[in-house]
Amino acid sequence: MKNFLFAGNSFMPLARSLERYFRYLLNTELKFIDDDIFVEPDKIDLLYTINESSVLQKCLSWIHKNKFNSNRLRILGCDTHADINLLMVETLGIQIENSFVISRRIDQSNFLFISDRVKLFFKGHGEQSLLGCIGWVNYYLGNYPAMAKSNDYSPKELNETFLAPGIQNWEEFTRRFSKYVPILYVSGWDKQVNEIERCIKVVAEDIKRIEFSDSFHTFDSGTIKSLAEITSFIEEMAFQANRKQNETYTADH
Amino acid sequence: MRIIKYQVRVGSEMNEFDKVKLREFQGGACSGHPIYYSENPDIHQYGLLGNVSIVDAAIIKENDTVLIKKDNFEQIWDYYWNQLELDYQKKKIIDLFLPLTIDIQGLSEIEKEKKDSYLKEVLTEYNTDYPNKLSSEWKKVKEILAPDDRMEVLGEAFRLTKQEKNKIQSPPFFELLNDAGTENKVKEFIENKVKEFIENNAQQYKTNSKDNTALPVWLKDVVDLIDKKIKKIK
Repeated sequence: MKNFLFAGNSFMPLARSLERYFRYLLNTELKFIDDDIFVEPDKIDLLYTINESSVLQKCLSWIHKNKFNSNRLRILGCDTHADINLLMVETLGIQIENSFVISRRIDQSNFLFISDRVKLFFKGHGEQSLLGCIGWVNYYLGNYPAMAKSNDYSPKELNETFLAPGIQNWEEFTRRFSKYVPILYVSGWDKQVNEIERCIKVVAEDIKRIEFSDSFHTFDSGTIKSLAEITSFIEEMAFQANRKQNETYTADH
Repeated sequence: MRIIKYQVRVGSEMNEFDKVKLREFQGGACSGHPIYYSENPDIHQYGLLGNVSIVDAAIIKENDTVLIKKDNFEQIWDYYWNQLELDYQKKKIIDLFLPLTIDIQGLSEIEKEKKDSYLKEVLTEYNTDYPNKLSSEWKKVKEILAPDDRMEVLGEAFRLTKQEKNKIQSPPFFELLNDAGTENKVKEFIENKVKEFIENNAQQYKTNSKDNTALPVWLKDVVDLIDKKIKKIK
């Protein structure tokens, strides 16, 4: 098992102190990593990071990029929510040793940075919700084949009425999804993320072939199926996130 | 005394709240406090908004006037306002001394035969530019929490008394770090002071059973003092 630390430049003195502690007291190596370092992690490797939004943001992207086992992420902070509370410095060794063995997902509600991002992912920044966005993709692209068969529209009219707004919403959906992928990945939705990424590939390949010409486009059968699957995964995640937030609310009041 | 005035490029769009913010930037009710960006080292080298990259990127200097770009006004206000939060200052102090705290803890646990080599590595840290950074950050904390009477920046309810200010102490070797220079004898003297401090603190922890934190005595005292003040205000 290897131990990695993602700390960012501003926390290097802390990182070096921790590295010394690991080496001298726990007889184990703590390797520093950052954006540019690629590793081939083992499933049991551990990654530590600091509970600071600027560091967490980069670290979560690194985890996703390197396909790191997100259950093996440990967050260092100065409060009781952190996996390792650095203020309990007398028990630092025990806390770290415990973190070697426990395997569990991050409880997103404990980390403001993560729970805020999850909320934003579903609700959007004042624009339409993510489900609304994928709903419009389904409406426009899903109805395109039937409308093409109906002969009610010329190819040009059909492109303007269905294809163009469908693609516009699709681009918005993929932009928002890719921005939040690292957050979703460590929030216990790694399987859903992988599945959605697979579906996005199918749809994206098909959309790439579209030419806005005077002929109808024939969608690949997998595209409509993939869009339905994406919707279903997003609905499932939104339901779980909503339930989680209600649980937290109930517990707090 | 040359106080550089703040202006915001908002023109007629400026609302009443922005006007209040601007008044605070320019000195507010406690005229003369160092919120302003001063370049005169005799008065106050930087003020709360000086020498900070986030601020530097958001201002334009024109003769005696500092213009805050409209798009950055809220960002700069938030930055300024955060500085005045006691919670924020407490966090800053903890962040500043956490590496030293962990080193002290490590040295209190280490086997006797490994202690010298561990300590040597810790001391190496203080032979880099790290002490300068520490020292400059500590200076900023003191400017807010424990300034001279004329230089108060916190609202009256948040200010520390003279006695309390005296308790906002850095480790005793700290003041020496900036003067270390390159002379070996001075460096050795300071290194011994750091070593003495670490060794003295290695066995002295103050645990607060309520929040279950354990910090070296000097740091715990500073944190407790700020906590008490926060509680009093709330």
